[in-house]
Amino acid sequence: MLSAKDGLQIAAKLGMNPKEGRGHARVAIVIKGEYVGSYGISRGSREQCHDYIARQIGLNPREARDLSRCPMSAEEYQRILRKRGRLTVR
Amino acid sequence: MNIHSQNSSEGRYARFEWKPDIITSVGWRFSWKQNDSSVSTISFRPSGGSSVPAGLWTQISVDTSSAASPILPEPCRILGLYGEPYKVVREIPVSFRRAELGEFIATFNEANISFVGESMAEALNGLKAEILDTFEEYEANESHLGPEPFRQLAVLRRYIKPEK
Repeated sequence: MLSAKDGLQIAAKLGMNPKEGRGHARVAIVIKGEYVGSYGISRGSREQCHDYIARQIGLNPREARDLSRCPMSAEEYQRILRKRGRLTVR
Repeated sequence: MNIHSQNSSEGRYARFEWKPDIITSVGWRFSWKQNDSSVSTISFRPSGGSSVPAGLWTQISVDTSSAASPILPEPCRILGLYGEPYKVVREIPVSFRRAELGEFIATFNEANISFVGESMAEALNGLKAEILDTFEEYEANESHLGPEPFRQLAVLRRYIKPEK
């Protein structure tokens, strides 16, 4: 399961700063000036499932967990996005 | 959120609108007339002590075939974004699913936007906020959107428009 913490770790790994949205934190993933996805993070008092983050940033849940929890690098993420046609800049 | 339904005038499904003026301190209650003019009611009670949000006006469909058992009203449609400078020009379909820790995830599938909440109402309110935040961010950066955000913005523009 992806948690809110994973959402924040993914943002940090990709060098993105969460912004304040309407009542919750938001992360927009911008790679070399190109927006590739965004997601909101709940501020719920207990742990909540944020699995939807994966789909919104072009990954499957396992890949998103790998991106959050280290095995996948930011460069590998970019390679996956290019392969899937979700990132066009080189 | 526990939902207990009774008979519907439409057979399997009953349709309601969530109106702020019928919210009580314990949840929502809806009444409707059946074909024989008798009145049935359905009650919603937020779970986990979450508060009842104001400003919701959302049409929902409820499967009433399993009376007195917890069910998810699916699909739900967002008809308005009250208090926001946007109008809904096409009803926004929302589906809910229960996640593994009991929370709810609300999804606008076509736009690939979801949000999570302790209750369905919380997830829905978060989704509305996320839809608007995404719309504003992508509109402001339209020339920098990759393929998926570009597609998402095109979808969102079919459903919401800024009020003039």
